[in-house]
Amino acid sequence: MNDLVIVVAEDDAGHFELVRKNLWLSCVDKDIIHFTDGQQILDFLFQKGPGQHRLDGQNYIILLDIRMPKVDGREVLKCIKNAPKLKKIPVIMLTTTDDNKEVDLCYDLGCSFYIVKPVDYSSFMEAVESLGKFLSLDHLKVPKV
Amino acid sequence: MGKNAVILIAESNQDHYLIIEKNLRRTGFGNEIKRFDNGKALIESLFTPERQSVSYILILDINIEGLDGLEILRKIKSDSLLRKMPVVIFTSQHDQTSIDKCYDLGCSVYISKPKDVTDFSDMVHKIGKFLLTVKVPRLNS
Repeated sequence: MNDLVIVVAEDDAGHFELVRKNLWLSCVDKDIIHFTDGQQILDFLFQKGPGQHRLDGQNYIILLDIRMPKVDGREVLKCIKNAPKLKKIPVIMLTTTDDNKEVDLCYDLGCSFYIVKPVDYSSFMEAVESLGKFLSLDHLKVPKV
Repeated sequence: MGKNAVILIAESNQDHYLIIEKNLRRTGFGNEIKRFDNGKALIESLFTPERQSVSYILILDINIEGLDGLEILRKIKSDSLLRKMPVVIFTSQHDQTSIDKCYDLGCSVYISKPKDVTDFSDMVHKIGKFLLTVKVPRLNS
């Protein structure tokens, strides 16, 4: 599936670089779009504001950080899952917030998976590599938005 | 994934089940794995008061015998506690209508089964590696 686009909302530039590098290593043929705060990704998804907008009929998967400026990831998740058109998009939380309450809440809101970014560098790389290999599965099917 | 999380595999095909179990173990899962070869048994087991104390992840073939797979997914995602459980659809069926429907109902991810046995094992291995890094919610909170 070559037309899957990975949308990453991550305000930490260093973390994003690690994610991007490792995703590219494991799924080279996929486009990655990066946003640095919650409002930007909402504008993209809801096709508002002056920035880039999502395309109708495109397949997306979203990697979402929780602690972000302007609108936090939990709120972004809520907006996506409350929008009939967007709720089908798989959202994977990728965050440093290691808190069971937050995990429970995000699944309740409808996230697909919740991954805590390991603090240790090599564990972080390993986690992103597993994620990349998972996302690059030819048999991973995503909905049309 | 926490050690006390239980992996539920709802799969009518015995060969497929064995490959899934073997490869999840090979990936490093020490977790309890529970198999259901029938949709009715799965629903009965999930909807008992005793179960709501641990974490689960469900790998569901929507072509499971006994009950329509989409109906199973709908039941799970309509329950205020069970809805949090991540559901991985793993099935031979892969028409766009079923895919859209499952995501609409709230599946975490939809993966179609490869026909080739080596690809099948390899895929379960990758799914397992990924699931090992995932946090699962508690169904009792």
